[in-house]
Amino acid sequence: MTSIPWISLMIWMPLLAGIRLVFLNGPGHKQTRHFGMGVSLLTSAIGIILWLATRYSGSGEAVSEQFDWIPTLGVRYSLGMDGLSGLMVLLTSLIMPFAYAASWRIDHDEPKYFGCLLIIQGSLAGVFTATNFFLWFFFYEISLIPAFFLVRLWGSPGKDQSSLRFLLYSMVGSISLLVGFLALAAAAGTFEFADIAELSANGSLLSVIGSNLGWYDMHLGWLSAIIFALIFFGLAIKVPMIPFHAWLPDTYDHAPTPVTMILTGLMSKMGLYGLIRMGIPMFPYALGKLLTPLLVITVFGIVYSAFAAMGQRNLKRMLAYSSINHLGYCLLGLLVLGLATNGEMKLAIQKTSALGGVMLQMFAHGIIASVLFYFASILEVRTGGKVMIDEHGGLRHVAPLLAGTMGLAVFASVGLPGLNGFIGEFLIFKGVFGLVPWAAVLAIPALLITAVFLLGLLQKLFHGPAGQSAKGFHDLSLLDAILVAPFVILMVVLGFFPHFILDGLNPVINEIISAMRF
Amino acid sequence: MNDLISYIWLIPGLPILAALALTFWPVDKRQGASWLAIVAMALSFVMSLFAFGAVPRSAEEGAVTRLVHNFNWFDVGTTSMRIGWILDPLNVVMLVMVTFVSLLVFIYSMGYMEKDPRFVRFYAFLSLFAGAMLGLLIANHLLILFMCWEVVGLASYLLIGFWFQKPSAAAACKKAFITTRIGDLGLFIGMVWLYGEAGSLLFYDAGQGCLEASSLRWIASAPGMAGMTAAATIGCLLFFGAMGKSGQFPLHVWLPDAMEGPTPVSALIHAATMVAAGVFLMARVHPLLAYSGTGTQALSLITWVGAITALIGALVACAQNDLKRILAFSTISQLGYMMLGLGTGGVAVAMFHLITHAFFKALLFLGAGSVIHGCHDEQDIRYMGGLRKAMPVTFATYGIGMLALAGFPLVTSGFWSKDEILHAAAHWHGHPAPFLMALAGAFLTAFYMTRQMCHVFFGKNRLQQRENATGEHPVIPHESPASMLMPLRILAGLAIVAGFVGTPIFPWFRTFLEGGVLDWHWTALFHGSTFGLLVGSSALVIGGLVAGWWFYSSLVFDPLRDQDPLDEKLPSGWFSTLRAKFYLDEFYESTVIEGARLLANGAAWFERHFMIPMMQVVALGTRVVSWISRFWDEWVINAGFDRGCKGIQNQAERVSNAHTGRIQLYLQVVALGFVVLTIIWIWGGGR
Repeated sequence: MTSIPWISLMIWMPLLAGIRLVFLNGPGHKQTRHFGMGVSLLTSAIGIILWLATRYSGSGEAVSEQFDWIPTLGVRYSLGMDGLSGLMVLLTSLIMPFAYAASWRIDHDEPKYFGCLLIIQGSLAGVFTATNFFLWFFFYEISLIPAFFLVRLWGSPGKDQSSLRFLLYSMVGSISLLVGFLALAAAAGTFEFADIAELSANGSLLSVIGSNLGWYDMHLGWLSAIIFALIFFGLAIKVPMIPFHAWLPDTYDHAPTPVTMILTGLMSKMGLYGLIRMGIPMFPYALGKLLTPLLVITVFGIVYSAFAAMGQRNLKRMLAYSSINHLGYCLLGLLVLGLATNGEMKLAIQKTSALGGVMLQMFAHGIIASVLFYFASILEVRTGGKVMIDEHGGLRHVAPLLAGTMGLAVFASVGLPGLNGFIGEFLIFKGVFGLVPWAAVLAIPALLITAVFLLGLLQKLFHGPAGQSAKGFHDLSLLDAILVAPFVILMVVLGFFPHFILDGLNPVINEIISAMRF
Repeated sequence: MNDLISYIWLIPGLPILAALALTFWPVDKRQGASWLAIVAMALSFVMSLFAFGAVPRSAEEGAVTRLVHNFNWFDVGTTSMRIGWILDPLNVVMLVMVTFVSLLVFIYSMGYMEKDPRFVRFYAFLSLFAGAMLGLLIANHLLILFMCWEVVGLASYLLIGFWFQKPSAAAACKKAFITTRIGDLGLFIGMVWLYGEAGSLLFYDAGQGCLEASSLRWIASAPGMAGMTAAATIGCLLFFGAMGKSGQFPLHVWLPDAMEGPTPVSALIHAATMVAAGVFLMARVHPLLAYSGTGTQALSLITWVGAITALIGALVACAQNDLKRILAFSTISQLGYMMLGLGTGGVAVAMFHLITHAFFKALLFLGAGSVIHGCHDEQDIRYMGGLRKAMPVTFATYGIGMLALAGFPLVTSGFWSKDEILHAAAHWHGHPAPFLMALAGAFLTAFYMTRQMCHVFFGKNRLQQRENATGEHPVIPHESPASMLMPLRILAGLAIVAGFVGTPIFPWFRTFLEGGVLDWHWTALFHGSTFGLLVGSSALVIGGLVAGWWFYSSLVFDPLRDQDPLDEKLPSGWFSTLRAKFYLDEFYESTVIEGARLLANGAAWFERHFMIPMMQVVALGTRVVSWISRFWDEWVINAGFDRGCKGIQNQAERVSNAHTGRIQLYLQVVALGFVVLTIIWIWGGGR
């Protein structure tokens, strides 16, 4: 694998192909979607191979590429993949072609649409493999632009405002993140994640901040807390963390549904991925300082978003709030890592569990949420745009296959043991309970509310006598079934064999936890 | 035989595989589907019998030998999650009972579900249920037990809602899942807590398991909540899960509604097996609950909840008119007895009643199914009557089941097992009330079952009245086919003989479960309090039967007009309160459910009218910033950068074709921010 720069290929091939498609003008380019699909599949194939390489390497960074890029600024072109990158690349490789296929029948400007998708695929690969901030931020920002245009140009009514809000919020987050990280990089004198993490692990990051950023005449602890808060805020918007979520329901609702699959399945993971890479492990002290208020907000957000989801009448909005809720568990699991353990083994084990749970949950949520939105798009398209839950009823009579597979996905989302949503949730709650019991106990009611509204959803959509929308409704076609099958199989298989992905993650988990043992 | 333990996973594995195969089975191959499920179940039954033979007996009291097989499941970081299977006296009796009753119900369903278009799906769900239930039994790990516990709940959800076109069934399956999940959250916290304290969720692991002495000593010394030790707190939390699953007050409200499912489902899941899983869980973790020095708060809680449930279930059952709902409340009441027995007498007492109850309650439900089948889906006992002539076999077997449930002295299994519970409750040192409540429940049980028998099998057939009212064609009740009667006959036999393995004279069951030397104690029956209690409870039961007969034997009422005879005798309002199940559903509807709904609508309203509009304020602020930035841009930033921005802008325009004015601004904000910050950075870092 050394001679060919596989990671770069995975990033730049779809990126350049996408840019080419976007600038293709004039009518009659419908066939370009085949070309785009081919590129997307090829990229995914590379991604899966790279994931396998990280999965079986058994140690830290499995694949890497390094060049000097802008020497004067100390910026390097450095890409690398460890288990966590591998997992996220795998998720990207699964969901992107799925979203691509789900949008096969869009009605106008095909080359531009599929070009945007390809750009997203490439930039996501970049975000998940960049090992320095400069490159990471570059890809992070690039991914926003096609996402914005996809919502704006192919969305449903209301798209103008919501796409703008999406962009706006993302920009605010980006600026905050940028300010924070530039201050950090200025102090540390490097953009490389690994170097900064090493400074943090051996405890010299604080003193470095003190000596290099001395012109901010400020208490050292507070200074680092502010830098952390800026970075955290920037990433929390992306996840999103309540109360910075206001862009999300509108965007998820008005975006074309395949784009929503990407937004929830992949782009929300960029925020969490960023937190794991640069937010949490680099600022144990700052996180410890802000832990209690952040936990209060997160726990409140988990419960609040569950109730908000229960109060929705629109299917896509309900799923949107449910997404916020599920990612709230991930935030919870990450935040408790900031608790000082004073070298106690027992607490370090709980941190290991929480972090492992977060990674499992990220992957599980990516799969479940994108499949659920796919089903939402099927319901929407085949009933002529009915997205209100009450407009449906008794669909199981005419669409047993849809009812079965969507039912499975819903139960996975509820966290039914034996499906992939459970183990992550269990590990998170186990870790959180061992570290901050009240946070776990207060977040628990959300698990119940989730079951209430998701089962209510199943009841209203599928049960009871056949409703209006059931007339002439088509069940999943063979093609739909083939598309969904890998995800359904993953939901079941990962429910019983979580080590299938956990084994590749353990080196990363150990690395982070041992760096945070203080 | 000792390596049997490493193949023990096949007992749940075979039905699971059958369920998987049936998921992809062609829907018109009905015969093959049912036989596949039955054969898989029969093999599980045979294996369970082998397992039963393989479990080592212990002659020493209190020293139970267990076969355990543990292995690694997955690693997180540096820690491993080890899981395993277990075989001990406690779960082999359950294995044999569950596989046996399942097998009978599978056979019975061939007749009962004959005409259902989703016959194959029915067997797939039933097999899934059986597999998960058996997995729950052999789990040597609380998390695995919990996983199976939830899958069992899923199967129950699917089967209650099997006729999903009925809105009532669709509502009932959701209610069942959610109500049990409320309890499961307690179980979940308890499990996570136990994991943290014990460091392992394996029950038995060569001295390291969470139910073994070293862990228990640690857990019993750790502090818990409300002044209890961690052990007692965890015990209470685990019991919440059992309350949901086993229909204990006040989480029992889902079980009567679960009768919306097909009757074989009610017999198997909501009477014999799944609802007993809560009792089994408590029996499994009994070492934790009863560990000396932990305080007995958890066991006291179990005792009180069990006694209250036993009494309330029996009271409400007296005033119901739906054939299956009477049995459902009876199940709730009997599960209360089991919990009471567990809290006061220990594992053997509760498990004995669990096993005998499984047989006679499955018998009653299958008999009820036969009645409903014979009366063409009529379930209201006021419209039945006189069926003993039309359905002689059903009548005879149902009568045996009814006597066993009532606890008819000496010849029925229910008598012996219930007597053990009453005996344990009488000697409980906490408070006399649970014992008195149990006695009252015993009287009521005999009473409401007699009421039901009189309504259904004696007197005159009143199906005619319904036809007069609704104008339907007359229905002639008929006996059920052989495939349905055979299980009834077998279960009727068991409803009698199953009790003889646990009499005071020959306490085989107790010595099997708890170890000790089995012997005949001919005089034990006449031993002081034992004898007094036997006579007393027999008198109560016979009193209940007589009272029921006195009220209902000469029932010649018109169901469309007349009141229930009991209603006439009781002060006004009492009977209607019982019929309305103490208005508990209404109470929940107006408090918990309405509260959750208010919170949900409140949150949605807050989102719509506050959070999202607030964004407009942010947007406005950004617009101001961007206006300033344009000003700044034109005067401060050099022209080359500006041209770069123009380039981006032009391309953006070409793609979007319209409305890009503002986007350009935002892009500029970012670009500007980038530049300003870089300057700050260089300036700050340069120092």
